[in-house]
Amino acid sequence: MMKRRKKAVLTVCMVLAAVIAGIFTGCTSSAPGGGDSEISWEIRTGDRINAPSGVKYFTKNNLTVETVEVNRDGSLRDPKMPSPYEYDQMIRTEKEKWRVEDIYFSGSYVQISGLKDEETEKIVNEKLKNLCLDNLERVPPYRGIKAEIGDTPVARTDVYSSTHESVYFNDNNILSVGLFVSNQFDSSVNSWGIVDVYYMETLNIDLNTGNEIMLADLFCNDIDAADFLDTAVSEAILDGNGDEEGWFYGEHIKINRPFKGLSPNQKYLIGDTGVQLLFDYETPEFDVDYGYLSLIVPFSDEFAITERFFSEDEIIYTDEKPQSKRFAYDVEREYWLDEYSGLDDHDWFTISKRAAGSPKTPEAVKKKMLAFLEEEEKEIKKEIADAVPAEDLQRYEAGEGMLTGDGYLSADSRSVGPYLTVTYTEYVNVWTPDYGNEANENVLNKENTFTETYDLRTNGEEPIKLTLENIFVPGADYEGIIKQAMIDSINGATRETNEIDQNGNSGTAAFSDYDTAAKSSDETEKRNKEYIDKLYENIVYFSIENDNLQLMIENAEEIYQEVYGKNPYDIEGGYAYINYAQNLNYSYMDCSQLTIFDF
Amino acid sequence: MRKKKVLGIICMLLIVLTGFSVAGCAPQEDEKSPDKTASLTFTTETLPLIDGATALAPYYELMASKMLGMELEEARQWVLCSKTDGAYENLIHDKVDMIFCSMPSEEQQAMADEAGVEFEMVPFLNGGFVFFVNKENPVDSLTIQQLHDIYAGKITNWSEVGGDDTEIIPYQRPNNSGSQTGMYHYIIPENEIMEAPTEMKIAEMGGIVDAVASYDNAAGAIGYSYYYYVTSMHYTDQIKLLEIDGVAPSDETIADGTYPLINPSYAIINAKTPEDSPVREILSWLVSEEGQETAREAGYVPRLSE
Repeated sequence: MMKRRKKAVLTVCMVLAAVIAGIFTGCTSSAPGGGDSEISWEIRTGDRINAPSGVKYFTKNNLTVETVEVNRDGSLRDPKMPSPYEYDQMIRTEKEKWRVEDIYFSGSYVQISGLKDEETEKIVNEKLKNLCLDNLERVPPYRGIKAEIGDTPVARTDVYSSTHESVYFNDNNILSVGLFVSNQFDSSVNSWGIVDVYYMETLNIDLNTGNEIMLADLFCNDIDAADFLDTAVSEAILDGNGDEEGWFYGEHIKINRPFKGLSPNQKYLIGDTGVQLLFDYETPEFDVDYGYLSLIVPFSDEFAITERFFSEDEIIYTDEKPQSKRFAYDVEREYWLDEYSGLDDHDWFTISKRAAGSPKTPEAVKKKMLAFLEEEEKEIKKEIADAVPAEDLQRYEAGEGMLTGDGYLSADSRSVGPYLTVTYTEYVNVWTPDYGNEANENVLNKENTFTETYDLRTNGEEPIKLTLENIFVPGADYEGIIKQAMIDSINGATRETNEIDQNGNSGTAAFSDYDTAAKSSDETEKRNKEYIDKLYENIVYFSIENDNLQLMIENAEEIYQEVYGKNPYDIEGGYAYINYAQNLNYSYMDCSQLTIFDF
Repeated sequence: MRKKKVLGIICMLLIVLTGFSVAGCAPQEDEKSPDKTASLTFTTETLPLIDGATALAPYYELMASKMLGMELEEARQWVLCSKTDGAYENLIHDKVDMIFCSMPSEEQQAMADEAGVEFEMVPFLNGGFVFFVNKENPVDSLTIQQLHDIYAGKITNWSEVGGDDTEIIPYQRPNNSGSQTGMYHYIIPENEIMEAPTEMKIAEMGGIVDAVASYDNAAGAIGYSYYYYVTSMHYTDQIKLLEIDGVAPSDETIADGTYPLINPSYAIINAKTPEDSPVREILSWLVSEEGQETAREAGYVPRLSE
């Protein structure tokens, strides 16, 4: 679509330009999915890569991304533009300073900086800008749209509308950008008299060249990308009853004619979980009303997202500092058990058990997860039998008293890169709410969560349970690295969450912003050190997450209370400190000291 | 002279570009060009307001394309697709002139009765309710009685109907879906059908629910849908359509009505529509040779045999 529009802009004669633009626009109907006969499924860029390649991890692009706010006509937006509420409160003479059509509108596009190749950067920025400006006044050719809103509709200016560009993926030398457009028009058909039209335009750019990346370019050379994606779409249609008119559980996409395959220029975005296919006015075989539907095709070995566009040895950014890494999200889930039942004869107690997780979960781990549920259920039965006083039970059975309780057991696995984190959760609560009786007490109250992290790179052997020590390179001062990351994480979060003060300082020193008046800085520093040391000593387990190392610290609140003499829940930001000390973004650690990205 | 020459080159370039872009617009299989000789023509101002079911939109938008003399992408914008319920509602409330749907449900008929609207219905397409299995399944044919017994839970193994010793997995569709309603209508009443295989699916709010399991083409699986969708889907080569009472579903057997499980599609108008209304001209056009040929072009089976 973008290419066609650009060609049209190059013409000189306005009349003929209009004719050609019309033809080009009309041309989108010539292929399902807005296809263009010039575009094929041929891979057009990069080195030859064979499967399995996949997405090992993402490496952040060292780019600065800025947002440019625009008005409905594309002009730059005045930063003092009043909000709709502020505008409504204004007197007439003040209102006259502003154009009403801009008040209920918000629009933006992004611009990048930081590429070594200035010419490529210029090309990319032009594309990003045009993506937004080309869509400010556009009504896409949706089925039924003109029957509903007429041939020359004008977007309503008294209701909110937007044209926003956002970066969805900014890694591995790829920039994936989506433009969300939402407008409202008067409708002559529907009961509300107004219709919302929204759509998404996308741009996926190879930052090495500034060229757009077509779907086929994302795949290994020995993979039939069209067949791979068509199969994924077909399965989603089948799985979600896509050929039925109504909506039912588990559905993703709807069709109104047989799905025969995607066009090579199918619209898509890249995200942390996979490639998101977008179905809209360009794919009329999908039933989308005046909006769009999407389907995420998860990353797998067939993709060539990493090697085709990115090399550790070739830095294309002016800032050559090491780039932070993170893993792709795995969205695929299976459910192995979901039960909800009473406990033997005790119908006053209900317990739910659930085992679910990544399809990559090895059988041995899955068995362990299910065994946990079974064993803990037995344990709970035993504990209830021991804890509930016999007289309470007898009174209950005689209809003279009340007993109630519930429980929840869960084992959930998540795969992150070649690792697997299993979270076990147990919750039991039994009490005797005898109304009118003061003895309304908790009989049994238990809550417990723990995780295990496995390395799945074992060539079919039993997965290896990981310790904190062995995710760092041999000889690394992992204690020091973790403690420093805790400090940096808290400081970083504090800087982000605090407003800039009058002197232009962004934020205040971590840990001590509400406690420094009575203490010298030395004393504060000492207490902060003590706090970090104690947190570290109380790490009970950890998990490898997509963009951070998550630590579970026992008694974190108590430690805070003990060191600072205050309850973190009562202090603004205090509880957040605890959270930030437990979620250590990989950007706070030198990734070369971690072994988790070495594969 | 020089200016003229430059202008000439520009114009030539534009003509070439125009020609090139027109060539690029060559219609593909699914997107037919309008038939310029269509006997019934309208402008966007005179075209009756048309609405309908999702599954019939490809037909009536192609029809509009021919009648408007427009490319499909443009014509498509002039017909509504409010889905079956919405289309009936729009017709009953006089918001549209004609709709393309299956027979009205009891609820839709009751709504019309309440509003004092009488439907005038013209069947113009034949659909087939079809059953399919994995293409490796040796069973080619089932009777309606056998299907009934399979879905009643009385026949549970393919060997009982001439196949391998494999357990039958009789997949169903969600209740209230078009296909499930068809199942109750053609094969087995709702109160006799066995419990559907279920699977855990993610619910809208993120939780999970036990939902009707979707057909997975396993060795013992059997599923059902409408002929229109099944015959040209991407996965069609992996499944096999079953003969019913010895008749295979095909364009011919569905068009001539020899296939036992036929469901017609209708063009429906308000019976009070004036006799000279262009809407009635469209009704006639639908069952004309041209209207029926349009059905074929759009991938449907016409109502009339050749």
